[in-house]
Amino acid sequence: MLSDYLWGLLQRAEKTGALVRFKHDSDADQTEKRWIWMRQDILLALKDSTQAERNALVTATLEDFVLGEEFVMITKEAKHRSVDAERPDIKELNFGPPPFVEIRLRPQRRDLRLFGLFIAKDHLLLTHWHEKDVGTVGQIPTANLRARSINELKSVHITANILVQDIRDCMEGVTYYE
Amino acid sequence: MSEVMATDREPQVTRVPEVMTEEQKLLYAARLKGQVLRKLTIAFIDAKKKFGWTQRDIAKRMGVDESEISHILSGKRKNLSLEKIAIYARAMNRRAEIHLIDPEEAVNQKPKTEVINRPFLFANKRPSYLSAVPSSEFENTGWNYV
Repeated sequence: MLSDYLWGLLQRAEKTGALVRFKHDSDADQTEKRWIWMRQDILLALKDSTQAERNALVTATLEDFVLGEEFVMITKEAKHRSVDAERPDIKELNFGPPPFVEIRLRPQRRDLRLFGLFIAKDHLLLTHWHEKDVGTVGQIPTANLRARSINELKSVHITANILVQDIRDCMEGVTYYE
Repeated sequence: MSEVMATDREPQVTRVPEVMTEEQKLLYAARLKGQVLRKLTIAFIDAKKKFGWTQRDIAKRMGVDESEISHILSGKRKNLSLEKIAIYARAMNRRAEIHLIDPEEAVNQKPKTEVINRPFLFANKRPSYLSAVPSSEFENTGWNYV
């Protein structure tokens, strides 16, 4: 549930252009059940016409999120976490609180990863988008990404202590992989 | 949580494009594909919780290699056929069906009120101690009231 205070912060961030809300074309019978905010540059990357297939995949995942599709989530406490064959939609990374999550695409793209934090139940702040170039090796420094994400949010007066602290409070309509 | 008219977040009606762009085609396909894969994964997790079935059990029932199940769930199987979906669903004690939804008809079947996941100051009615406060005081506050 988004408090009046948080709603105000997001509205202000949207007005100043620091964050934009993910909007999509919905049918008459579809209503938003979740919300995503992201930085302008992430949204612009989504509109890159040279990457139509990638953008369709990301947009489809984000639309499903917003329209309340049931998602599969794996928490950092899950047993057999390394057995990743079931491919969660949302994976809690080994940090936090506040939980830092990776949003995965279906079908999975190992070279493309999205990261974010929850400001309230069903309200996601998409903070980073990481695309690995062909031939690049090495791990993404997720700990640094998380620290950067939290740091960047300070500019819109969102601090770590006001983010959701428990992964199980982040979303409704979730199947947990345990 | 209260039930109020969904006035501030009315959905936009998508018009069917006269000629679909390549981007639209890719998006429609990606959404369906993603949803199918997600539903298969959820069905697998349910079967695992309910019956204790593993990928190996399901693969055995389908007469395929265990890696095939892993490839289906991960989406590595590029062209997942309808036959495969039907068989895979049945192997997990599910029946696969397809629904083509007319949005206009579907919206008529929905209740006129929507539950919005936003806080509301007064769930049903304004408390008596605030009855003297004019309605205009609540405008643009982010709060809804009845």
